[in-house]
Formats: sequence, structure tokens, C-alpha cells
Amino acid sequence: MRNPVRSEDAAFTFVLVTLGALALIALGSWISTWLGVAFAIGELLVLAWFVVARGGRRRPRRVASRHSPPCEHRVLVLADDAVGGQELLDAVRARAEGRTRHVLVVVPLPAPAVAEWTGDAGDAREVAQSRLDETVRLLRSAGLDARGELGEIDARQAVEDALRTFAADELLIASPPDSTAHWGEDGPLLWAQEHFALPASWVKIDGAASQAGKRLG
Amino acid sequence: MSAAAEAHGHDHHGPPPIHYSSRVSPLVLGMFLFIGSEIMLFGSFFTVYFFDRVVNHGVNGHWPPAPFERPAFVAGINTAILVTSSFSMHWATTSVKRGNRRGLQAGLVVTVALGLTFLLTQVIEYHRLHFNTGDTSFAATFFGLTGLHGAHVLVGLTILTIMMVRAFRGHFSPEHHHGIELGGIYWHFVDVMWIVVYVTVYLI
Repeated sequence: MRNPVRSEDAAFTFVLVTLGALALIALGSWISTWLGVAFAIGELLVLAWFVVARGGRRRPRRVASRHSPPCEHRVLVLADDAVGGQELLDAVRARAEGRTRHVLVVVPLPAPAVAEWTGDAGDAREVAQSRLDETVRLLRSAGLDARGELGEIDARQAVEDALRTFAADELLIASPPDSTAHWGEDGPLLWAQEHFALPASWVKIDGAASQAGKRLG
Repeated sequence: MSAAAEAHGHDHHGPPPIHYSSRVSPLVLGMFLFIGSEIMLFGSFFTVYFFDRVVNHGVNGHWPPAPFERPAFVAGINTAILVTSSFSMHWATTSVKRGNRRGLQAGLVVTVALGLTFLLTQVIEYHRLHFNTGDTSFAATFFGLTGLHGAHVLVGLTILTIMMVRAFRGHFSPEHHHGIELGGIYWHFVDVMWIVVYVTVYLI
């Protein structure tokens, strides 16, 4: 689920939209009361259409900040079901040799059913946190400046949240080869291109290698 | 929204870790509950206002009931001031994301100044009105709605002032500025509510 005013950017846009919408209603009311009512109904219909018909097709997001210093390279890692491992470590190491590398690992929480909203999510969160801790420990043991966060259930939202405070230079998606949970059959690269305006790579995490990576940590 | 990985570990000391009883993250759930409660709060005031208006409109034939006059022009100036403060707030947020500390500080100072101007203008406007809360139901709902919003502006100004002091003390960076984001969201919410109040109470 997406909160429409979860960022300051979105809230500011909401101010402008409200200003325009109510100015139209006020203008209509000034001419004739019923014209104002008609404008209000029309705007509600447009809003309903926007929510229903356009809700699932959002434009690709721009990165919140792309101003990391030239001597630094910031990698945002979206880690799906299988986190960490030697493949991920190698992939991060291979990037921006000679520059200070900062890594933020984001693990989306497992998808819920609506019926589970008020249920106990402790186990799912613990499993995700444990995978995240393993990955961060592994990256740190290799001398990288790494930290991690549990993100939103929706992977797209988790990345957007992370980009708001982490000026990533690129996005690295670490997931099993057959993972389709967040991006469907199109695969993570097309998904990333559609939603984020920054270079993206896909590190296919093999289960066995992932375990080896965990042992390194 | 998220929990820092480093804050979680088996060598944890101090208070026990937070138990999450829902799969919706606490910050998102909190924001939804907050917005929901605010909508209900303002909604109840608007309901009273429109009820009063519909009931009394039939009796007097016009709104507001004579001899009351709404100070639409001064409130219009105030609306422009508050909308401008949203722009300066957005400037401050954009600045912190780009690592521009001067822009952050200037944006917050301008926003606080505009917010104060709005509040002072509203207080002066109250003093110049020739009616008070106990005069009629119109007066009661007028002061109720605008006063409720004014209280929100006061809370917003308090938050903005804290943000401003922190900005001048060197807090916030492109990586860590959730305080600015959340304060900005609140301020824009206050602005949106004023636009709705202005249009419904002063214009239509």
C-alpha cells in the first residue's frame, strides 16, 4: 500500500493540486452556485478516474538526490528473498575501484495478506532482519562502509524510501534467478528501468553460494 | 518504514526490542492514523459549519447572516502568504537533499517568518471583527474552524522552529534529513487545510 503523502515532494505537489482544484470551484461558485457544484463533482470524478485507472501505472521515479561527492560511490542494494553471499560482495567490490564505497542494503518485508494486517508479523520481520544482519556483516568484514534497513513490503516503495535519504549512484538488485515476487515475469532490470532513473544491475544469488557467503561473515 | 540493521543484534542491551503487532510499518501506520484523525477532526468542524449554513441559509436568504461580513480580502492575502511558505519549505527540503546548508537555513527562516506573519495577521483580523464566538452559530463555527487551523499553524511553527535551530547547529545532511521531510509534510498539510478553509468559509 502506498501513502500518497509519504514524502515532502508529494505533499508539496498535493498543495499545488489542491490550490488549483479549489480555485476552480471558487471561480465556478462565483459565476453560479451550480457551476461550482458541477466543477466539484467533475473534479471528484477525475480524482476517482486517476485513482482507479492510473493507480497502477506510475511514472518512473527520479532519484531524490544524485550529488554524492566525486570521490565516493554509493551503491543501493535491494536484497530480495536470498540476501548476501559472495556474489553480492564481489559485485560491490567490482564497482568504483579507488573510491570510497558506501553501501545501503534494503530488504523489503515479506508481502502480507490483508487478513494478516492486524496479525503478528514478528516471525517474518525476524527472518528478514536476520538476513539483513548477515549481509551487512559480510560487507563490513570486507572493509566496506555498509548499513542496512528493513524496507516497505512493496520493493518499489522500499527503494524510493531509501533514495530519499541515500544519494545512490546505482542500484544493485540481489535476488534468486527465478524470483518474480516484486517484478513479475519482466525481471528486475526492466522493473528498475521503469521505476528508477539510475543505473541498475542484477546480481543473481544462488542459494548455495549465499550460504557460503554467510559463513564468511 | 525501516529499522536500522545495526540497532538489532543478539548482544542487545537496554529496553527490549519493539514488538511489531502489524505488518504495516509503524511510521507508515502512524502517518495514516494521524492523517485519518486530522481528517475526522476537520471533517466534524466542516460538518457543523455546513449544517449551520444550510439551516440558516433558508431563513436569512444569504450567507453569512446579516450583519456579519467575512474579511475575505485579508484572508486572501494570508492565503498567499501561507502558500508562499509551502514554496520556501520545499526549497529548504530540496536544499538539504543537495547538501546546500545555506539554502536549508534560508528556506526555514523564510518559512517560519511567513508562518508567523500568517498567525499574527489572523490574530489582528480576529481583533478587528465585530463579532465574537458567542454571538451566533455562524460566529461560533467561523472561529471554531479558523481557530482550529490556527492551532495547527502554531504547532507547525513550533516544529519548524526546532528544525531551524537544528539546521543552524549543523544537523541534517543529504543522507539524514527525516526531520525536515516529516516537518515539511506537516506544514504542507496545514497549508492544504487552510486552502480548504479559506475557500469554504471565506469565498463560497
